[in-house]
Amino acid sequence: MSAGKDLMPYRKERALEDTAFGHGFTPARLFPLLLPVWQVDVRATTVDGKPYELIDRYLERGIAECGLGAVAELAAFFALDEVLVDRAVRFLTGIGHLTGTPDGRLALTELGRDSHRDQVRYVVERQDRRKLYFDGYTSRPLTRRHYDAGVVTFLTLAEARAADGFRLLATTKGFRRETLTELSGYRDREHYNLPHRLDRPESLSEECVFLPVYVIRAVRPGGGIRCLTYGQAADTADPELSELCEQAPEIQAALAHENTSEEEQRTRITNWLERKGLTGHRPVRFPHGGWQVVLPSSAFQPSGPPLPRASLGSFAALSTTVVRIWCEDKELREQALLDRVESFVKARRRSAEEVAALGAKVGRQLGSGTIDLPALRAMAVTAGRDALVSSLDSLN
Amino acid sequence: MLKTVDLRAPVFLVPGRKLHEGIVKQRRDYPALPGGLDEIVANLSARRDGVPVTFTPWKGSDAGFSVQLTTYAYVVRLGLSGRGDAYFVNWVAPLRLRDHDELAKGCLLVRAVWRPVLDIRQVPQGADAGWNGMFRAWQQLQTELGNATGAPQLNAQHARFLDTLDRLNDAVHRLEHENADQLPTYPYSTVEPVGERRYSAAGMYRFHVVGGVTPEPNAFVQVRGEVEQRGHVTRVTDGKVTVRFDRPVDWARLAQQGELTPTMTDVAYAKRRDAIALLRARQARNSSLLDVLVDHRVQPIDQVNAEPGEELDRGQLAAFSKSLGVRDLVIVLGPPGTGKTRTITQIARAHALGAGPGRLLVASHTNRAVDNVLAKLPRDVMVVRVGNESKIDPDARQFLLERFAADLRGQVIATTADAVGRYAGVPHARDWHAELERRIAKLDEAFATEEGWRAEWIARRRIVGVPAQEKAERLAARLAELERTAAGARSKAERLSQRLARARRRLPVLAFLTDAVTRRRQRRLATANARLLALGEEASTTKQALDQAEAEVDLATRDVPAVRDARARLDGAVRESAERRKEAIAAATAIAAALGPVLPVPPVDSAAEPGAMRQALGTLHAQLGPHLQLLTARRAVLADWHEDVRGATEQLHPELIRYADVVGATCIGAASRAEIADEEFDLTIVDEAGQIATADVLVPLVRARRAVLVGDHRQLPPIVELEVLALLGEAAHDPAVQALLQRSTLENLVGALPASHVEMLTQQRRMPKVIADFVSDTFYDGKLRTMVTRVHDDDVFASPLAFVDLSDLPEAKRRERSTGQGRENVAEARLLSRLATHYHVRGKEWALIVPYAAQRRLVVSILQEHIPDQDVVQSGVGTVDSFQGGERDVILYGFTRSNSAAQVGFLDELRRANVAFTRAKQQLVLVGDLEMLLRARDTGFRELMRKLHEHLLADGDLRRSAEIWHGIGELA
Repeated sequence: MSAGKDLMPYRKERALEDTAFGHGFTPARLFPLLLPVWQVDVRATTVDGKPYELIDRYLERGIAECGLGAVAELAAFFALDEVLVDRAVRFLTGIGHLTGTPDGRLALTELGRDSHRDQVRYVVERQDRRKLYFDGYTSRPLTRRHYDAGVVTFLTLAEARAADGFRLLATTKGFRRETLTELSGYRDREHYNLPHRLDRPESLSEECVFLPVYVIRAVRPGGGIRCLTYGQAADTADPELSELCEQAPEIQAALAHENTSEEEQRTRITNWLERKGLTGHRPVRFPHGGWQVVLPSSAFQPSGPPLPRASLGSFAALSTTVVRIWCEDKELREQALLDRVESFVKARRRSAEEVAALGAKVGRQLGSGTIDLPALRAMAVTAGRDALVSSLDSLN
Repeated sequence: MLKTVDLRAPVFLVPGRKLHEGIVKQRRDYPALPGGLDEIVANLSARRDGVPVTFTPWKGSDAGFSVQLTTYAYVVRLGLSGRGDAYFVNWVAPLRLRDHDELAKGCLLVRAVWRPVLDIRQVPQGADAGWNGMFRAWQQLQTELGNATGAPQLNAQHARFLDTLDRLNDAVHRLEHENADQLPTYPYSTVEPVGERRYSAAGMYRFHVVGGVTPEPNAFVQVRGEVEQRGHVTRVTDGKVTVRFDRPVDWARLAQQGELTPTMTDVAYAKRRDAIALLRARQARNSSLLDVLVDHRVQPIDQVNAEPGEELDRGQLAAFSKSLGVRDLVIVLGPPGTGKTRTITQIARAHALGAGPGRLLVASHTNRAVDNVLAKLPRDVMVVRVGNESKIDPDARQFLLERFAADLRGQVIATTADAVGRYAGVPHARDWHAELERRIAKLDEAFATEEGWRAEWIARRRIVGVPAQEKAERLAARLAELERTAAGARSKAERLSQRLARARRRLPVLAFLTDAVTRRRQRRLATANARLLALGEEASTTKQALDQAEAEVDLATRDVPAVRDARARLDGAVRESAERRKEAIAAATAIAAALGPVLPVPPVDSAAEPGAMRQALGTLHAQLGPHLQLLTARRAVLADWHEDVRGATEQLHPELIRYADVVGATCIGAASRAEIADEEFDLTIVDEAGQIATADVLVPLVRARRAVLVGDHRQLPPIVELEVLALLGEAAHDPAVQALLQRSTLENLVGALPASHVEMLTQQRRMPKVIADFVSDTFYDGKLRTMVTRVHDDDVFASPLAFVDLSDLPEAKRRERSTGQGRENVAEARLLSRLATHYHVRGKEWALIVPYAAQRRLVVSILQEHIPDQDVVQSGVGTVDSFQGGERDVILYGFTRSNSAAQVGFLDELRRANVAFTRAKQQLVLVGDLEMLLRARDTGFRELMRKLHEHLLADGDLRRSAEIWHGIGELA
């Protein structure tokens, strides 16, 4: 299942850590899956509302509130260059906010007046064509995060079939066209990447495409199974997709039935350890289905083989089997914790809150409990990590 | 893919022989499996949309296939009965992900009524299992799936093209990373803030580097271990290295001692990769780009009605029209001096001023090429340059987004601060406006009181019954009547007077027609004036009589107590009215003073008759109302504007980009700069495209709907690191790879695209004819024509094309030598430096071009001793690459190579010579060991030298080095 790293912008371990230490669940299995999604080519008259920028807002205020009605008047009033105002007026006329009056003055159109009233730059797109995405089971719209084409890739069936390491999920539900008319009732339009208004939407074509996800079957502290779903958009669980995977009976059944035998999983783990040069360590299976292997401190190096120190307290995903990697050496675990914090603060400028949140999460991960900033600093001082101490001191 | 099948007749399911046994066995592990056939039928029936069905080859059935039905939790396998009237349910298994996988690839969705029977004999006569219909649908589905799979998103050639590009990009990236590990580092002992000019909040600090080795200007560096503290070197003086960071750097976080390390950015790699991905996803703005680049298929060019703002020659005009009308991509070939920049600026201007529906992106590989175009754009085009402040040409810096925004912000803040001040009186004026209203009301009250007492006083006097009273009243009435009549007569006279004045202004030609009317009007005016005079006289007489009568009445009644009392009260009321009038006038004056800077307010005549004054005050108050409302709004908007503009300069960036007609950026900058990363363009003009390899040129091309590639494939090609070829191994010999790596897109397309989409500019106006003819014959198949006359004026050489031959020197002196840093030739460097000094002293604009960096360093070190202005030396001496696109009066070029083996190294890239030779506007002086160059091992180079030799003998000036030394002498 190596191809997963090509489709997903992060490693499986990141998702497992989120399940375990972000949500407090115990991950049991990880499934790289391709979720069916309806890609619908929608034609409609749309009104999108975007925030005004600075100049456009004031030019429209100038016309609406100040009785200014010519490029030269606006330019003089706002102390702007006439060429700039002319181009801005062209733009605002182009989006239907401005019009010329019979006496040659500029005036706001109805759309311009509405925009000025609401201080939202409305843009009408007639015959607007856009692709909207709906999950393949309930035809509910996907959230905005899945519209980032730079991060999220929807695979065609042919591409999905060629995606090594990912299983396709099937759906027998066609796209519910009523969904399109129901969209106008959605209140949280931003969240669903919907325009401000969507009139007379019609579907021009519907194609079933596939969204790569990791679905992690995990056990809640009080018992009970959860299926947290991680998309390409972020390495934190996607609430809507998780809900979908937990509620679609055909997905639930298939995940429940993917029970590789205990022996097979154990062999998988020991083979992996042996490939790393770590022999004689017996993985232990938890009752809920997850695994753990306890390794000596010699197995961990700051970087490089057999295992990087960063993997301590984390997981390894071997096919769908999940194994937690542990070491009883408390000092080593603290070193690993400080490593994580240090690389986090060095990567880019961080706020104290961000570092505290990471410290708490990694603290849980490495058995140090929830660690606050002072405790983190004290730990760094004890360990002689001066650079980290100074980085922590300069936060915010 | 789903295919729905509706089975009309009920489908009978019979338990297979081993079904029960199998279920019992499996339910231990999978409790979700059904208990028996009835539950299976119930679960199948629960799938209202239909039951997913697939066929699998199975020898156990006569039909050769088994059928799988899928419920929400398990899969049921069926075998067709011998009579084809029912199915045996043979096997049930839990639904697994692999089943999903199979179904997702394509299945039937069967809608049917499922009926369980315990025995095959219970299946009614005539029942039909629907096998034939389902199997036909299944086969049809397989065909459709095959067709769909056989129609990939991209055709094979397009996919191969993109795959190759991806591979090349990865190889270049890998190499850059490997090289970075071997680069030197620069320890520093202290760091200090600097006060360099800057337009953004990016940090700038000066590092005192120890150890003697400093980075080159413009090198990318970072503070070791701090990935956020990354920037580039803007200045190096005496071991002090000034670094401009990419973003703000907090002084407190900057290590006071540490190390600068060379850094490399992954941006170019990432942006090339993104561009390739966009093409792969078919999301490039230029939707037919792959058709053009790979299949060389183009769309017809539209006719466009646009006129250039300057005169263009025939070729330039054709390039102009094609560039504006192109639907996909057009190429403009611009050999040296043929005015490609002029053509580009005219295209950009016409596009900006109406011919194009969107914005234009001017991109190139180098900042210099971009700035060269932008600096020449006319003022009525709004230009924004996006890029790194320190790398932008001073002429184009005014367009730099950060500077543009900062200047604009400064201008608005300064101007609106004054404007806000001018509106400061508006609230005051509003207060006075309300006060004026109150004072007018009081004035009205005072007027009413006055009139009341006047009436009372008159009434009381009448009671006294003085005879003169009646006379006075009669006279007063008469006087009032006279005044009314006079007012009517006065306005009539004024009207007549105006008509007469108008008539006098009319054309004399109409005079004969209007004379009669004029005379009539003059008579009427005279009558009216006479009447006015008479009325005035009568009024005056009446007034005198009235005054006399009033005096009599007054004398007779003033001691009557009731009259005296009324009179006193009337006098009081009159004084009160006068006081109120004064107050109202004061309010009006205060308003005028407060609004003075923004609205001229006409004064109210304080000497006017009280009634007229009251009317004027009322009119003023009414008119000021709407004005004050507008002025209040303007004041509020202006104050908000002033306040909001004071916010971060960056807030102006998106709009400046949005309103720009032309945006300029380097190829990679076109995608990597956040300000324009999401912007789309109608047209992109890529200049010096002959130097840009495909992976780079795609970055701007995918951003614009259509494109113009401008350049010259007979000048320098893209630079390729030899290590990249090594990294590619065998693949480097693949012609497709070479085409993408070593040749520019422009070069690949010239000759491949139809002639309609390639326009060559052929009229050169830079070089003297003798140089241009040689260049034309050698590099441009004789197509270049010289349209400029240069008068030869040089005190050393007899022809604009000169060669100083070093082969008169002894071998030991004229030979090149190999240093650790490259090749240099001392004799040549000395002579070139001498010539440069010669021309420098004479005030000529000169450039000294050599092919090797080591030779450049040597020349610079010699020249630094003789030309005090280091900037002149640094900017005047360069390798060929740094001068592409430039021009000078005098070009001095040294070949450097002189060896017994007649090896010319990379001089075998003849295009290098083309670039070097074609920079000259007046004089080209070539310096080298001609004897060796003429017998160079490389055939192409030897041929070039043979042609050059011929031209020199025919029209040039071939001199021996000793002659030149003798002629211009050694330097002091």
